[in-house]
Amino acid sequence: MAEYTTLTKKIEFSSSHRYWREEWTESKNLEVFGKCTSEYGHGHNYILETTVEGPVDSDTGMIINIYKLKPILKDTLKEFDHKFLNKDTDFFDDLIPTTENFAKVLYECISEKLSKEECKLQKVRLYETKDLFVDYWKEDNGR
Amino acid sequence: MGDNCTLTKIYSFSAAHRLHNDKFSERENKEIFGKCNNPNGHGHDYSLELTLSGEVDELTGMIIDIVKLDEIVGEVIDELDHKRLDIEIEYFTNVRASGENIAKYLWDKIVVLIPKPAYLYHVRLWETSENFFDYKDVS
Repeated sequence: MAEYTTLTKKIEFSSSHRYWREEWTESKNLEVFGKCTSEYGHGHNYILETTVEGPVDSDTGMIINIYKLKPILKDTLKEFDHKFLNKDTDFFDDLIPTTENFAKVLYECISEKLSKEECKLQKVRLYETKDLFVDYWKEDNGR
Repeated sequence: MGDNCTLTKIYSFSAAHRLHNDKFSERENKEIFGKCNNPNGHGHDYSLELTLSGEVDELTGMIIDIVKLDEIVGEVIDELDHKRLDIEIEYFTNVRASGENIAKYLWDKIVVLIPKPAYLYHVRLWETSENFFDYKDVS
């Protein structure tokens, strides 16, 4: 029986966002996005759970050292923490910063940063509130 | 390489039940269902984690409109909320109101109501903070 071990690191950060499509009328925006259209945005305390997979090193007993993983994640989140996602980052110029899209953006950013490491990104889970979260993963390494 | 995205929303409701089967003797019922066989029932604060998948719409960035989802799920849950399941809900007069069966009941009720292209992917029902039941269609 093959072994499979993952490690998940949880980090909280805060951002604001607004759901709005310029090409739609105000009433269409309101109909689709409701309260999330509020002009100056609104915020959440997001929780990001990053799950990595890979062989457990026989000397350290680790998939990746948390001391190495944490700065990578913190560095990724620096771009988003205490920012207005629509205006202060380049990712959402033409993409609504829903939890679905935000999870994908974070997955891509982290995946790129981890490409030099011994482990592989398996999944990100992004909590927007404590009762709503999105999972994002790629097919070939999804479990 | 395909990408996968699921959205999970958590709902809660409270209900009472008694686990009992008339097919069994009084002793057998007590032996099998233990404390859950208490004649006057007992209750739980249930927590329902509903996971949906489907296309993330290019324009809205959403798998499903959460407001619509809340309406759909709200109606299904309202029927059970603050009820004695094995007496007041017809389905559970013949089927034991166990975590396993409640999870399946919720799946069956909700799965047909989800507007396409979204679809129900997984149901997790927490009966207490220590027990949960997962249900999904593996066909």
